[in-house]
Amino acid sequence: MRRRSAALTAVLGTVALAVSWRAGTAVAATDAALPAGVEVVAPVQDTTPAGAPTSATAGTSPTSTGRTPTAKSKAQPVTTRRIRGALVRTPYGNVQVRATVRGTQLLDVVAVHLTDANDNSRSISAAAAPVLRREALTAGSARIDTVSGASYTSAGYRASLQAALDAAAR
Amino acid sequence: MTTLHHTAMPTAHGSEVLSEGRVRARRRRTAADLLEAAAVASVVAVAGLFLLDTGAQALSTGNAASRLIGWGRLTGLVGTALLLLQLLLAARLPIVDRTYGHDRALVAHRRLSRVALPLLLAHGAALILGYAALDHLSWATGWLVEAVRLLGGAEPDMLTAFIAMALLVLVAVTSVRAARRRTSHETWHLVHLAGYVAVGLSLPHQLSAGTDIAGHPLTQLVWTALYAATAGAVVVFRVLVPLIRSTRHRLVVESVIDEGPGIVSVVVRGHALHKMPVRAGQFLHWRFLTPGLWAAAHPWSISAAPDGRTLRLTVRHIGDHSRRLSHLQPGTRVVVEGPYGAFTTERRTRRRVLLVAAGIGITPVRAIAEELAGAPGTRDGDVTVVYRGADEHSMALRDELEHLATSAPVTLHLLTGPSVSGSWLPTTTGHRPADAEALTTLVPRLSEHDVYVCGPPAWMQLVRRSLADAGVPRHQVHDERFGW
Repeated sequence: MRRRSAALTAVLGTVALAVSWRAGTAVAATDAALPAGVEVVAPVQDTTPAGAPTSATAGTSPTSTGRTPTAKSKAQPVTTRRIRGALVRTPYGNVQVRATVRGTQLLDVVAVHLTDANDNSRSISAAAAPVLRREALTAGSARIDTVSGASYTSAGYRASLQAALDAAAR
Repeated sequence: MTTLHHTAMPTAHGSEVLSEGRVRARRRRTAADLLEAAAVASVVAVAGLFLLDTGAQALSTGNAASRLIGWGRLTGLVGTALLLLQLLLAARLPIVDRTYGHDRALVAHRRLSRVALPLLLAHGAALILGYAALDHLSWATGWLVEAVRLLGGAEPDMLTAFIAMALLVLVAVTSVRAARRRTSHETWHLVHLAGYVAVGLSLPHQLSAGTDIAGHPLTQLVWTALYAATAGAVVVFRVLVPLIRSTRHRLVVESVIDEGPGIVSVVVRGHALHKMPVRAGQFLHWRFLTPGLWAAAHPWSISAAPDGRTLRLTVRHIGDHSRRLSHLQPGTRVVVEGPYGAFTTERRTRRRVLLVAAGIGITPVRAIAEELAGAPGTRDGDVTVVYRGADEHSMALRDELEHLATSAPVTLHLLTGPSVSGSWLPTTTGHRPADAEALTTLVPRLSEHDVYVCGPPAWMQLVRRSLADAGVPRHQVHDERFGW
């Protein structure tokens, strides 16, 4: 290779790699709590069925318009919502949970999608899912321990659930 | 002024630079730059897309185990990309052959393997150790447990991947210099073909267990393009073109000529041979379809300028295979791959040409000398042949060269004598400047020549050194390396 072409190729190649690195790590910085290779790829989604009873406070009508602002804030209806957590990508497949919350209280959590890159990850996630669910319901939050041997599934589960709970609190 | 200019032309003619040669050389350099830039770009694309996707995170965050896995993924991707480039270099792509010559392409192929193989070994090691750490296995035995676990189905397509790795190691081990000396060309070649099997066997695990290719559209595109280009080039130029060429020209042995102790020439005739794009100085891989010889193809230069009717190769016995050539029967079918090589008058940029050969390296030089002698523009003093040998009786094709020297404008210098350490000439003081000086005396206006060198590698190195000492520009020196 002629010297000038070699220099140009070297510079362009280095720049391309540096840009990729910067762009790649910039994503990592926003998901600092997530382990390597785990990233949120889709935000939360409120999937509360339209016809479902959303009010758990009997006798009050959340849609009535005649209330004063003070009264509204005092007796804010506690609604039960089903929120689909963030879709989290891991090296072994996507993880997503659906949380059922009343206000900000976690009532139930089910896995919508678990790591399934191959048979092995499918069996790992199948074994880990009940453990993770029990831990989450016991803790009432996303502060759950990693299931040994299923670190990516656990991390994805945590991240997806946390995003759902964050959304519920908003 | 104009008149003066015109009268000056003839004297300038002797040292005339051939402008077509210069143009071709410039085109070759541009082609080389583009090819090399494309090669670098493909590797950068693979690595860059990995970093962009999740790779940069994997390498910069997480614990030691997940970082190790990140490095394992990166080394696997880059190592495989380099492996595919290696296959492309050996795929006999016409543009690669024209630009670099088959010999140099194979040197690059060999050098790339020194990077690709360690990367692929690192890929396997990093992933096994990384997974072992992730599963909290001990460092001492974890790798073994993890390897067994992987082979047992913890990840898909691991068996084929492990076999592919083993085959690549086998190919590399049989190709190191020490092993090459102890293995026959046939065995080595057969083992080397396992490299293709290895590349094929490694593909399933990249798509199933690998997390960086399947499902990542851009990476998938680059990856598919690399694989498709490599597979296409191998199938077309290593299989189809030789097959079509051999079928079309229907080559058969016409005669076998004893050229003296240990040297034999084989004349091959064929159908429509004037349409085969072969030039003096090139070589073909010859496969003679007769018991004992059909199993292996050998690279031998043609030793006479192609006349459109026959091709001639001249061979020195170095192995059982070449020894059996003397017993070839006329009419034996011949299958060829090639022609290959950039050691031709395509490279010529000067009117004057010096051809330097030693031993059996005379074969392509003899063909080029014949081509130049018959070229219409060649004048007295334009073509000089320097032929180095141990003694006059063992020098192949000496009679033909002497005949050429008396009947055509070719000056021949036979340099005979036992080899001298540190010198490519027979009788010198053995000092470096003396060699250059001797050559300058032998060949007037040396620096105005294009020089073609062919002989044993160590000997050629000495010739190149003398040429540089004598002030011959490097781009005027062309050589053919017989790597076998």
